[in-house]
Amino acid sequence: MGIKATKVTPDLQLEVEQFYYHEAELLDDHRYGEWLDLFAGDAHYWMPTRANRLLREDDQEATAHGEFALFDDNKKTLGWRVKQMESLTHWAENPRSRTRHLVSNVRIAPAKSAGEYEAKSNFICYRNRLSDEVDIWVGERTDLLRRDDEQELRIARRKILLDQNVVLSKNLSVFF
Amino acid sequence: MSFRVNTAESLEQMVDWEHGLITGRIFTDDEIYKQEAEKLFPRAWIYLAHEDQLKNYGDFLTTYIGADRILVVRQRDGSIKALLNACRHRGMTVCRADLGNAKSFLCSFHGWTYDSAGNLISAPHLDSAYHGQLDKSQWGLVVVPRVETYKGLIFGCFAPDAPSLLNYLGEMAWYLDCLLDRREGGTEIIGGVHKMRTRGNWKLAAEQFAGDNYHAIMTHVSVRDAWADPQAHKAPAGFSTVMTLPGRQFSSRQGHGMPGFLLKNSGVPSFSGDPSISEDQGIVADYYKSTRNEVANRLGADRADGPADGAGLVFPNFAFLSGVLGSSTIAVFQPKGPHLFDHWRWGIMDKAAPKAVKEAMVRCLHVWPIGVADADDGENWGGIQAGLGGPMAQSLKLNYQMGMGTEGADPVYPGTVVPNMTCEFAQRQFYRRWLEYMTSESWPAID
Repeated sequence: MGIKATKVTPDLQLEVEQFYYHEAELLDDHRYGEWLDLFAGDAHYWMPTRANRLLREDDQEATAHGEFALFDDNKKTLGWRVKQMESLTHWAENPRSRTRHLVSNVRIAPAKSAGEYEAKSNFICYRNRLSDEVDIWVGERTDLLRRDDEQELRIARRKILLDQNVVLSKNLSVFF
Repeated sequence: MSFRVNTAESLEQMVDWEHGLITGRIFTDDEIYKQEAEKLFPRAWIYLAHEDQLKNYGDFLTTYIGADRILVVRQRDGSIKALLNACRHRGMTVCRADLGNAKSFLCSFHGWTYDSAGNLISAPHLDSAYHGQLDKSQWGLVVVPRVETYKGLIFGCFAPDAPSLLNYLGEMAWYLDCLLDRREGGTEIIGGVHKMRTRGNWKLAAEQFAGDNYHAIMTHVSVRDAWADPQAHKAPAGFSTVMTLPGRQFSSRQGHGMPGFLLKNSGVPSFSGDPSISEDQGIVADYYKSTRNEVANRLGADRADGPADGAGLVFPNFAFLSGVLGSSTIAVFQPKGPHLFDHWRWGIMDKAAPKAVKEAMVRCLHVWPIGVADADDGENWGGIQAGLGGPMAQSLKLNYQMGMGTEGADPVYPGTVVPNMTCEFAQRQFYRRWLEYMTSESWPAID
C-alpha cells in the first residue's frame, strides 16, 4: 500500500480504529445481524487459501480470485452464514463459542474514489469452545472502506489472509 | 443394559459387520491406528492427485499415503511418478513445498539431489568424502511401484500383489464416470485446496461418505435455516424430505460406496442446483439440464438420470460430492493419529463447461458445501471422538444395523444396491473390507 503516515489525519485514524473495535464487539457479542449491516450492499468478503511454495514461486502463495478460498462471499451469502449462526440447529455454534477479536496495526490510505479508504489491520481471534477446545487465528485484513449516504463507514471489500496452511481448527464457524 | 470395559476383543469381535455392531475402540486405539498405517494405507490404492494439477514436465504436488509423505511428479515423457518424499541419506523431507514446478529436488540437509524420476543425480563431495564409493544408482528415492490413473484421478499403491486400479475400483468406476466423464475433455481442478485439521478419526469421515445419508437430516439441518427466505416465509425443502424420495444406495465388496442417490427418471427434479436458493444454483441446474443428452449419449440414460448427484467414497479415504446444489468436490481424509485427520478438499468441474457456468459453480462451492455445510460435520466428528474418550464408551457396541437385509442386486445399478436413499449397508461393507486389510498377511483378495 505504501502508506505515508502524514496522509492520515488523527481523526480518520481514530474513526477507523473505533469502527474496527465496534465491529469486534459485535462479533464477540454474537450480534451477527448488526455486524452484517457494516457491509456495503456490493461487499465482497474473501479469504484465499495459502500454499507452501518454492520461494521463486512465492507470488502464487495465496490463491487468486476465482480459485478455491475459505470464504468467497457477497452480502447475500454472508447473510446466509449469519442466519445459520443465528439458527438453533447450527451445532458448530450451539453451545456458543467464546471468541475475542483483537485488532491492531491499523494502516490507512486514501483509495481511488473520494470517501473511500484502504485500511489494513492485523487480527488475533481467540476461540474457546466447549470444555477445552482452543483455536487461535492470526492474520491480516485488507479492507476497502466507503462512506455511505449518512457518512458512516461501510466495508465494501475485505481480503483476509489467515496465517495458516492447514487450517488448524475443525471449522471456521467464525467471522474475521 | 449394562456395559463393562472390555479391552480383550479381537479385531474380528470389534468389527461384527454381519450383525451391524462396531466397537468404539476402532476409532481411538493407538495400536489399531499403527496397524492401519502398516497394513491398510500402503496396500490400498490411495488417491494422490488429479492429472490436471500436473500439466507440464516438472509439475509436482506433495501428499500422503497414510502416514508417509509422497511426492508426485509429471515426467519428461508425460508419465507420472510417485516418490517417497524422504531422502535416502537421513530421511529428510526432500520437497517441502505443496506444489510447484521443479526439474530436480535438492535435499536441504546435505545436498543430495534427485531428478524428477527420483534418481540420485548428485551429492556433495562424492570423491573427497565418499571416495567414489557411493553407487548413485542404488540410492534413488523410493518409487511407489504402482501408479495408475482413472479418468484424471491418479492413485498410488505400494502392494505388488494388489489388482489393477480398474479392478480395484470395480463397479465404482461406473458411478465415478458420472462425475469424471460427463463431457469430452473430462474434468479440471479449481486452483487451491482446503486443508482443515479435524478432531476425529479419519474413518468417521470415510464411513460417512461411503454410506451415511442419514446424518444430513440432523447434522445439516441449519443449512435449511440459512437458505430460508424471510420474504417468502418459507424454507426450501430440507434433506429430511430428500431422504424419503426414491433412490438407491450403492456399495461394493472393495469397500467403496455411495450413501444414496436420487432417481431422476422417477420424476424427481435434479438435485444439481436449486434456482429458488440462488441464481448461481439456477445457472448450474440449467447447465446440467442442457448437457443431459450429451451425457446420455456418452454414458447412457441410466447414468445421465441416475447417480450423477451424490456423495461417495473410494475405499479407504478418497471421497466426492458430485453435482449437489451447484458444485462438485473431491476430498481426501489424511490420518494424523487416531484422534485427528486433515480434511483436504478440491473443487472439480467439467473442463468443457462454459466460463460463466464454472464461475457460478465456484461461487456455489464457497457457500455450499464448504460454507454452510461442513462446519457442522467438523463439530459432530469432534463430538464423537470426545464421546469415545473413555474406556467404557470405547467398549460400546455402536449400532450400524439400519436396513439389515435390504441389500441385493439391481437391474440397472451395478454392485450391491439398497433400494433406498438411507441405509447403513454401505458402512457395513466399508468395515468388512477394512477388517480384511487389517487381518490378512497377503493382499486381501476377494473370492
